[in-house]
Amino acid sequence: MKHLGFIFLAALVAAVILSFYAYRVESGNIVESGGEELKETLSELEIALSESLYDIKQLIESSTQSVIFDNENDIRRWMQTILDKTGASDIYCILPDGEKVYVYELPFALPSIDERMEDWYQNVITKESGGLLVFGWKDVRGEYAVEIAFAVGDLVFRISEYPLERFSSLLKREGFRLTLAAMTDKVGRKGLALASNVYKTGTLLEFSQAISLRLEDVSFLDGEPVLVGELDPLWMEEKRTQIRTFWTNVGLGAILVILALWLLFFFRKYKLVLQSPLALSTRQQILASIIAVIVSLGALSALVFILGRSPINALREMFSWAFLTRTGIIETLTRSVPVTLIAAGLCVAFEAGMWNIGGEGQFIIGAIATTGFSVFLFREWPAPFVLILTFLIASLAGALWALGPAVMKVKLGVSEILSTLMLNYVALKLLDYLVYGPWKSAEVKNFPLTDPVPVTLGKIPILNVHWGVLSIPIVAVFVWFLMRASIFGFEWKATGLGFEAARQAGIPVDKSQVFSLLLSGAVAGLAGAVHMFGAQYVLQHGFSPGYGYTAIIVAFISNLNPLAVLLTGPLITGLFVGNARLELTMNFPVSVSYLVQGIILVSLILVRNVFLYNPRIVKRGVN
Amino acid sequence: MRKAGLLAVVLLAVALGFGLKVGFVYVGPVGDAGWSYAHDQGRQYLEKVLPGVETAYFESVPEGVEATVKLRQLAASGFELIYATSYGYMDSVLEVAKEFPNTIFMHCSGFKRAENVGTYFGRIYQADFLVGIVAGAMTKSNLIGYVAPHPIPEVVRGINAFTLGARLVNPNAKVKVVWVNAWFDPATEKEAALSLIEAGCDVIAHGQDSPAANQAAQEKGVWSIGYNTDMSKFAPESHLTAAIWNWGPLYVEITKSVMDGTWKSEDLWPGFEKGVVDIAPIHPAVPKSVVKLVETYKYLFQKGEYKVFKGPLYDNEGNLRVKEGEVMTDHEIWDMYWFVQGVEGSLPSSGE
Amino acid sequence: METVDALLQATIRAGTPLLYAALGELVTEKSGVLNLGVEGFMLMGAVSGFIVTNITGSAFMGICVAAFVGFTMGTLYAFLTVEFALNQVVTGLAFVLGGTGLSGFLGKGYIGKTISQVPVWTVPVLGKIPVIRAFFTQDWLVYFSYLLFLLVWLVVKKTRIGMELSAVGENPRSADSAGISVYRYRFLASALGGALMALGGAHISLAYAPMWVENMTAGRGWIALVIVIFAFWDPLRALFGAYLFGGVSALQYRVQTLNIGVSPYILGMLPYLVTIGVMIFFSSERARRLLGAPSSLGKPYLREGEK
Repeated sequence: MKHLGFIFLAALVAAVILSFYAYRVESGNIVESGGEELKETLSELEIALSESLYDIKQLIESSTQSVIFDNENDIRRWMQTILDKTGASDIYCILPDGEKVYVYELPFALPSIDERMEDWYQNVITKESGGLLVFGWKDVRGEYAVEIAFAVGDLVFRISEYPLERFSSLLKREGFRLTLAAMTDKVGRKGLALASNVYKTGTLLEFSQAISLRLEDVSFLDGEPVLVGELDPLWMEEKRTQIRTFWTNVGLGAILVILALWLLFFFRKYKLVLQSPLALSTRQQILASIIAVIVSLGALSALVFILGRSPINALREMFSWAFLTRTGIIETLTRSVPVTLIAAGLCVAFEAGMWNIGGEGQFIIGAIATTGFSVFLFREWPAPFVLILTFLIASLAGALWALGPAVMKVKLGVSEILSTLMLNYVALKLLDYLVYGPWKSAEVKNFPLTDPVPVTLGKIPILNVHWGVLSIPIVAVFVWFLMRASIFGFEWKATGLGFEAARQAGIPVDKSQVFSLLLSGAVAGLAGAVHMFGAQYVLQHGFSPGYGYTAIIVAFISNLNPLAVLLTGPLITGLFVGNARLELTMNFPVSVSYLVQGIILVSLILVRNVFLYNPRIVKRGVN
Repeated sequence: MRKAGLLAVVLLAVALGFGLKVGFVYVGPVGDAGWSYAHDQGRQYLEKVLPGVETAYFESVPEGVEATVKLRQLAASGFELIYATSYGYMDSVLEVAKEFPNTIFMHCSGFKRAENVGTYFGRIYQADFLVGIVAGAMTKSNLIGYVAPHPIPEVVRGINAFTLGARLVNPNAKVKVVWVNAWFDPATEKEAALSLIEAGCDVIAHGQDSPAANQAAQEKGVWSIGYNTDMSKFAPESHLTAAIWNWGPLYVEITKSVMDGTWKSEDLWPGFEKGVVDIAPIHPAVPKSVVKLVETYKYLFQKGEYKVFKGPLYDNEGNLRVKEGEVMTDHEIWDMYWFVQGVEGSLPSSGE
Repeated sequence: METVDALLQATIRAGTPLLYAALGELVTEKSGVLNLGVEGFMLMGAVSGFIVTNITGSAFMGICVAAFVGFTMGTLYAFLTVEFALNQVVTGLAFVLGGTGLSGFLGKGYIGKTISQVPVWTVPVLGKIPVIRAFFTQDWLVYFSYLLFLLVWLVVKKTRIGMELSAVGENPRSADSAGISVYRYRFLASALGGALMALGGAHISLAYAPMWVENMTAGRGWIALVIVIFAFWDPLRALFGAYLFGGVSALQYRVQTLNIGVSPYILGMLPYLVTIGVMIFFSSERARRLLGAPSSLGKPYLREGEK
């Protein structure tokens, strides 16, 4: 067993090392194979350039200085500069419609960019323009661009502004062999690129990157331009640095973690011994939740720090936005309504040991039922009537959506985790089917939106949050009451603590599990109705960004206590609202909020288990 | 009175050396090579051309309440002009616009306006028509595959224009439509494209945000047509051309009008004449005569002298929809929800 | 014949990520550890494979790193659930969330980038025979999945290691008293399973649709979980299961081109409904016991005196 572990680990490490080696050989080859030929060409170029007429340095500098022209006058001015600097006698310039703007008109129409092959340039430059060709045009993005072309021997060089990636595909398409161009690379750095497609077509892009030189790296000896012909490459170095950074940042950390864990627990003589579980005191539970939030904030700060921003500013921005500004509070509360409601319902299911991952689906079904009944059936009825009736129906719909998984679990032992999750996807598809098909409103020009619900909850004055907020405490207290002060609560708790033991104690475990799942489904369905009447009004594709999943975290952080949900719901939502705020102020990726959710969850149960089992590390063999 | 106040604010900002703060809300990630990417290119262009303008954006914002809170956040954070770039933001925009009467909202592809809410869109169907010509000319099997995202008028319009273009040069061409029901799901899109290729299509077009369909075509050695942006770097050998968005100039125009106070709530629906839509460079394998034809129609679009949707138009069940000599009004084009003759595919029935 | 071949080829192509993930989950579950985080593992595999391939230009290295990342995550998962006896359902969910978030974060700068995809290679002789050729005109990662499948099948079914692994998943207490190290087996199984799942993700981003997009696995990790149940923890049946689901998703669009007049949204529900149907059909408690589900699945093992 030990050996097997060693073999796998060694094989994997060897594979990674091997792949490094493979990579080195591979990239070495690119330079090797293309290098000799290119070096020859470059030395030819050097000779040719020394005989050429123009001050290439000036040319390059002026062509890279101005990139985008607002209008044709700027182009004219720029042309004049080129003319002055190079002393060229003939410069041709035409603009889109073949309209003459400067010096000489070309004696022919300018072919489209794809037709301008190397032969064409060669022809025009040698026969028509006397060595230098300059023209401006409007590119596909509507920018005025300028291109300079000159020939050295039988090679054509074009200097024009392109993003590097676009350039190489154009080059390939146009059938050029070797081209010099002024480039803007991915990071917006200006530079020269020498690109060739005579070698391997597949490596074109890489090749042009490999030999792209920055402007300052072009040296000029005795006033004569010399292109630095050394291929080596800045590019290679850059890539190596990139890889090194990648490994130091991610790989190294991973390797360290993995080796430490493996050495400690797999190969060595140590192991983790868990003590008999102790009961968690309320203080410990609260402490665990707080530690989890702190750990996740720490992780977030670390990410902010990696991106080169100040973590303190980020945290301040997050919290002050989510909890101290009016708009932020509106955002936090509006979003916390569905999350907190669903979480309150989930407490029940989790307490009874039913892993309801389907809060999202039940929420969506609740919203669908709300629209279905209020828009199509109760349209003309008085408002309070519609509200109450729809709340009931939406709850029923949510419960029905949970009924299948509940029965399957109890009767057939089908994992409710997977069945509720699958039903989330089914609910999403059903929503799409309805809004793109039969329920599409006739008034919105065939956009996939339904008609709005006929009544709305209205906003609380001053606070500007809909009245549905009040449903949170009502539902939470109701659920709390059921859990703590009713026979159901006792049954749920007993079932959740130990299925077999509860059964033996004569508790109707099946019934209580089914009921718990139905109740959590009903609450999620109700959340859907409140959300529709309070804020969403119309059904549309993807209107829930995963409220049902966030609710799972809220329920756990609250230690399945519906009253605690009242506090943690808005707090956790606020955390994510603040997190999203960083996207605007610090350009921070929005996906991080999922990572933070994951970290909260893991650290929470980890801390709880540490409290629960009081683990210690001992030598193996000492039991 | 309100207008004047706004103007004063803007002038003050300019006088103090601050530019206009412009916010964008995107429905997808900015790197999707598709719809949101094209808008973000427009945003970057705006920043480059109008140096005083400060921009920021939210990406991957779901439609619905999420969009409402993001729009409100932008407005509350002092953004004076906000572009909402998905039709599903429609009601959210109106709701927030009511709360912030001094902020100007521009909603892309919608039709509901208010005093401080304008709408804009581009006639991408003109570009669809042009790439349709290329597709129609290049197909040998007379079967063109179209990987379509969601059945909404914007997409239907595009497919129709595309089909009309293809049948202009190749009256036998048929366009086979497969719905993937997602704007952005590369693996699914690729599978859908492959199924079309197996069904005999030798040109694959799509209306998706990712170039997966182009990649599938490249793999199978058939032609493909991109959408939203020039997708040639993903499939250099197969990419014939693409119908592309070019929002930059329009954003500059709108933003300038807000800065100098001439902005008013209206519906902007420009096409080639403003350069909002275009086609990507055409593959060299396309015959010169076809390229010339495309350029001719492009020129006509630029001059506003050609209408795509004019009679006689039959739907794909053979009913006459537009009579000879009639031209569809913008209104009719806007909520077009039927396929023209030559499209093989069906639309989910609407609630009418 | 052409169409059958093409459909079969598409089936295998679409089934391969599922196969990798299902094999990984199978190995993990055999040892009695339930890993719900498959989706997160796949996403991390997809993003790390893509990033490395984009930087280095070597898909081989991308695959290695993806496997390594999966291995690391699996180790971490084992550390938390095996050593610290954390609730496996919650930890699994946390890994889904964490994997989704971290992959989005790391991959942010790589959306819209291109790579040279893992090439398709036609096996000389076998690639010419009708029907069979569908299996042998695939990319390298598919061939690698055949190899890994064989390896897993051999080890699980035919070796002492496989037997001991099952014993650990079945009854850790008696396995422990028989001198088999429960912790080591679970540790190793989780880590290797993680590597396999990550390879499934890497197949999507490096070969299937060679690009990186947030959330690009689109729920395949969950389907892999179902396949394991469907397969009753048997590698051969997992192979069939993976290709069956691959076939369903490949067929979906081919059916649509026939114009059968069912809303595509309703058709889109099919995989999920089929999954539920399969679960109802096969995974009753009785069937589980009959067919050898690891009895201690999802239950952390605590030695006597510790609990």
